Amino acid sequence: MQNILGIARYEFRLQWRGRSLRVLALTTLLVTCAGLLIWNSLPEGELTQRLNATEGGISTNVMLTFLTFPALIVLVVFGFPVGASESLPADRHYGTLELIESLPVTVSEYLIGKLVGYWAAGGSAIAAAFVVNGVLWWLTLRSYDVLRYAEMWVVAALVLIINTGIGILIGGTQPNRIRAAALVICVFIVSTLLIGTGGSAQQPTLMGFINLARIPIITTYVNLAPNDELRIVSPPVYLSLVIGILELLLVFSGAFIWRRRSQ
Amino acid sequence: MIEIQALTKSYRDVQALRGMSLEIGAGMFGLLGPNGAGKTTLMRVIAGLLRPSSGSVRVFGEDITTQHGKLAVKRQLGYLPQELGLYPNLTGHEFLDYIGVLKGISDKHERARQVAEVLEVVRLTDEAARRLKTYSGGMKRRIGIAQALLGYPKLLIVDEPTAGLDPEERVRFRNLLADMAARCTVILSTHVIEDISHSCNDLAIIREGRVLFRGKPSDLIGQARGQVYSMITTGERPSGNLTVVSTLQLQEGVQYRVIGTPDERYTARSVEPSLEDGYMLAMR
Repeated sequence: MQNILGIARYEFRLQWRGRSLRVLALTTLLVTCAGLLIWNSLPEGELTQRLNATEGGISTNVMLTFLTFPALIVLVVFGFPVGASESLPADRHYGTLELIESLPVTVSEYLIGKLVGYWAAGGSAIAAAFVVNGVLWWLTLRSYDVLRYAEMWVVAALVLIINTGIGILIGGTQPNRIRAAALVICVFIVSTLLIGTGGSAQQPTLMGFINLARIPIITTYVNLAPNDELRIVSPPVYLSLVIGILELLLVFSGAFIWRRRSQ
Repeated sequence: MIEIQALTKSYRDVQALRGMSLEIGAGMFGLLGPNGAGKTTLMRVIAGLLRPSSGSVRVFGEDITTQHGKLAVKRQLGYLPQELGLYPNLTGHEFLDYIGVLKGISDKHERARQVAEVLEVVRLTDEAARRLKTYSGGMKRRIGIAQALLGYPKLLIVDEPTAGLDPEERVRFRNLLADMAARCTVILSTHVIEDISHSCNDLAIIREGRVLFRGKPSDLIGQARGQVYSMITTGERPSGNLTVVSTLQLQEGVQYRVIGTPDERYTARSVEPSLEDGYMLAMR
């Protein structure tokens, strides 16, 4: 446990001192806040009319989700995993891998430590964007459902954990950072484009669930239907997260066996 | 005590170690050999980083081919790889603290004390707060040495430790290793024969994965006695079954130090061999 925490603590520092995570954190902040600009520039058109309508109108909560979530989910589904893919090859790149392998650290401690460290670093980037974005929206709208807002970010953070975990472990099979990033991009593109989106938000298919783009989550939250209930955490979201965790465990097992054999 | 029996290690079609057997006791053990001789492979096997293809390696009674044995050895190991890289964005202090954590020094105060101690040993205390990317090559090497000393290892394996160090640091480090050898087993692999001659009382020369010589430096020197000559020519390079060890331009001609039996047409005088002569003779 001490080894895991030690690796995680220093992975957290290394990530924040590297360029990739800082760029991703800043991008998350900017693209999620971009929804505010869109909101402020909206004319008195259909959206605002529907927003103001008493029957079948869109609540400010739905608007907030609609304007924030798409950019956020694209980053946590694709951007962060590609950035995280260099986490394990970086040790080989810097030449520290041989030293780490000479220390009393097991393969599972090493992998888990790296994952936890990146999750903490990526999670703190998401948390910072969550707070800044939330405050700015509050100042703009004066009132919205904070729990709904938090729920959206928690789901995004869980997707971040699953997808960056898969990105780190897949990237870890490669000898250098460029090849790691290239492989992760390929895997995610293949998953998104070839596996298929599979059904609707209400009735996703298995293919939609195993797609790394987490289609059921996107279609659940990015939805301008007037009924708020649709966007409260729903079975497709739960199921998508559970399947994502199973995918992560599967990839972890593969990475563990691969690393044990390569030693 | 390290016991190596009939050890082989192959990388696909390259056989790096060919049935090597060695026993290494306490103190300082030197490992000499040309590039590609298998020194680094041997040290990586002893450190539990590489699985042998066949044969056995026991370190302090632990079989390093088992997962348990490997971990047990690593808990007592200080290792300095030949090409140690460092995280450029960590400070020297942070890097050592990180390695200290991974070596199992769980108490924060004890870790801080040991980090301060090894920083003092390698004379980097004043630079400890600087990021490693700002360190010179020699300073990086010294940080590498410092991390190997953390945790008071029972076995210290150092691969080319003095590469990149200035002469003063090299002497300091040799003395440090000699001090360490009083408390633990030190395996020193190097191309620098001077490092071995000044600090090791036991050595092995390996080539093409086999042990060519095993014994004391004085035995190696003794083997060369009567076979090392010095001669001065007008510039003509000595021919015959000779190995030229050194060449020195003098006013009266060129002075050669050779191993072997010089031709009678040369006026050669027998000289007292050095460890380098013994090594060169073994390599012929």
